[in-house]
Amino acid sequence: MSSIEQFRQEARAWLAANVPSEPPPEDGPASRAFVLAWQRRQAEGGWAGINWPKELGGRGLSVMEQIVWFEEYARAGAPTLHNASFVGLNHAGPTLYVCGTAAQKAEHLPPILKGETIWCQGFSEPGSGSDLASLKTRGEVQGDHIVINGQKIWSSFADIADVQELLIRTDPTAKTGQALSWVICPMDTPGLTVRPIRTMAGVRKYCEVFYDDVRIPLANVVGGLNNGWATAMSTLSFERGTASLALLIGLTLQVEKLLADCPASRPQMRARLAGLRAEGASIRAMNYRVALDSENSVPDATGSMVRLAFAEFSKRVSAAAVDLYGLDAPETVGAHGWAHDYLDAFSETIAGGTAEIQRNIIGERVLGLPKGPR
Amino acid sequence: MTDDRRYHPTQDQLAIAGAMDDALAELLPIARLHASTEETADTWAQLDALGAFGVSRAEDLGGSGLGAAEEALIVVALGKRLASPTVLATVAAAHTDFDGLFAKGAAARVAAGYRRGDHIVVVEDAAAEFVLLREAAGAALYRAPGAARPLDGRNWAARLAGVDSLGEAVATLDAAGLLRLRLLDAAALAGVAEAALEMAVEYAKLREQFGRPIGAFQAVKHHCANMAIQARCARDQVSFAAVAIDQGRADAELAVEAALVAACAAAIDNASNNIQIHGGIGFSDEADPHLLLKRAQLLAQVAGGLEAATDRLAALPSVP
Repeated sequence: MSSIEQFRQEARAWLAANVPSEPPPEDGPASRAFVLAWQRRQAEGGWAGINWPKELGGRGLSVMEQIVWFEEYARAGAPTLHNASFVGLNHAGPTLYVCGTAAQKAEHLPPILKGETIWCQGFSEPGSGSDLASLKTRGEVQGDHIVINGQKIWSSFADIADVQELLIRTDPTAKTGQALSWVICPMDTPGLTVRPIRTMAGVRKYCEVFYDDVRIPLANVVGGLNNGWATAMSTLSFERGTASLALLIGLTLQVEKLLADCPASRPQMRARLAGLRAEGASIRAMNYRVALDSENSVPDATGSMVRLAFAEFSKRVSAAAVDLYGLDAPETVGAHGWAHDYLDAFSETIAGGTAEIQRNIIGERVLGLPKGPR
Repeated sequence: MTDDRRYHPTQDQLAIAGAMDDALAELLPIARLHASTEETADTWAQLDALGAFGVSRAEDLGGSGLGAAEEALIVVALGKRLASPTVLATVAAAHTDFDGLFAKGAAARVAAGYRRGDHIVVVEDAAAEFVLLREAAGAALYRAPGAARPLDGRNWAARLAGVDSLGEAVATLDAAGLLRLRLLDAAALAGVAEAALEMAVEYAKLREQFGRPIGAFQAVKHHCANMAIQARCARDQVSFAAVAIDQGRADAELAVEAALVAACAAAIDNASNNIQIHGGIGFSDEADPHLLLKRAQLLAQVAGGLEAATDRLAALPSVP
């Protein structure tokens, strides 16, 4: 048996014995407890950070093993990875890994893998959504601290997070490339308040965060003072690269279930689901290739293609599921029914860069088209 | 199983296809179709010399003895240059057990044909000696018919002919051969999707309106981004399916049918959008965009059509 196949068998056996039987709580303190406990369990079993370097607590294995883990993870119906662990594992962690100092890595990366800390993101502001570079939250350097004033929004799970990756304006006179800083902001710092926002799917997943003279040590700047735009861009690349692979594989498995549940008496629905089968398979193939190609480098803008295709696919799958089963069916209603996924999916083409911004990125950075008026 | 499960061709396989892609860019400029929709004798001889028709043929028979991955990648490259349906059918005919194709040394031409209702449509090629006929549930190789009634093929950048029967088959494709045939159909269509993307992007960078290249405008840029996703998804699913065949995996058939559905849609959608991005010149006869659309429709039809491919995909059971 090949080493990959052996790895798969081990992963499958471990997941069968360890995947929690209860459905994960979606928000609030219960969600925090669940997410940390599940991450701890994976770490103790040796399944956290499969392709993270060994010195940071990972297993130091290849992308292929990471892919196999995600396949088995999705197949086992393990808890969604679109939870409070997402930012730490997929944005903040990789950014620290690429841009952080040795001390920052040693302090923050192992606790992410071991299920000790939850990270959130502080990028968007009420006046700065797609135009992220226009953000106004001010960070004023005073001695060896930065004093922060302003407001962030759409910060997922900020109410239950320990640490925030925070993007602020530290030089009000310079252009974006030299004006912003990416800082590590502990959520218990005095002057910081959090207000959860209820989404259309009824979940308190996103938050507003207010900063009133919040003092952060200068040592918490990652990637250099006033160099935060470059640091932030590496984070976004990670989000758009391999981060959604397990979710995508899970969705393709759900399409299989929808097809199995769709009777022959509904040929139009079967054709629609077959189209989704082809779409899901081909996005997965593209995602595999992007992941494998990026083995030894920071994922590039091609990750935007995966991110956008996945987002639109997830909207189409949940819409098809609601149509297949009906609005009041057992498969549709309830906290973990398709209605929830359908309503929740609307955020997919908005959060983390709207579909329109993704198309700009694909057009300009993948295809080389000229920049234009926004 | 000693071979590791793979989802992507190896660097060596990509290099072989890349070399062929470079050679084909020279040999098969798309504009040649304005003069003739069939390949000239000279072009045919050069394709043969490049090894385009012997990719999967055993080495002791003079072929390259390569697998589905190399063959699919090379057919993507052929599709990208709008290689004629005869070229594609001749490549595919290697998957029958007929060994007479190379009887005269060079590869004999195999025209593409498909059954439509009670008659057979052949994409004519004056030099064709055989026809690879697609039926709903199979495919077989026949000798080229002596006489056929001309059909109006001008709309599809081809000469089409109708025949009622092709007589006795000289060889049929078994299930494995049929799967390879469908993979190659998907590969050629994925190539057309990629060609349409490249042509659209190139034009969007050059053509100026309102004082700037039209590709700077989101209305055009976003079309291109969508085309890029469709082209890349189709191409990557084709490679994925090809590797699945080479590895003898249980998901190969599902992967191939998914590739065909994705590539059919990608080729026709991208060829259509390419015309839109070209504006007025895009619907002229003298420019190239219509050639991509017409070939996309023709290749999809030869392959049995998107509707039938979707039905087959809907009927396939899940692979655990």
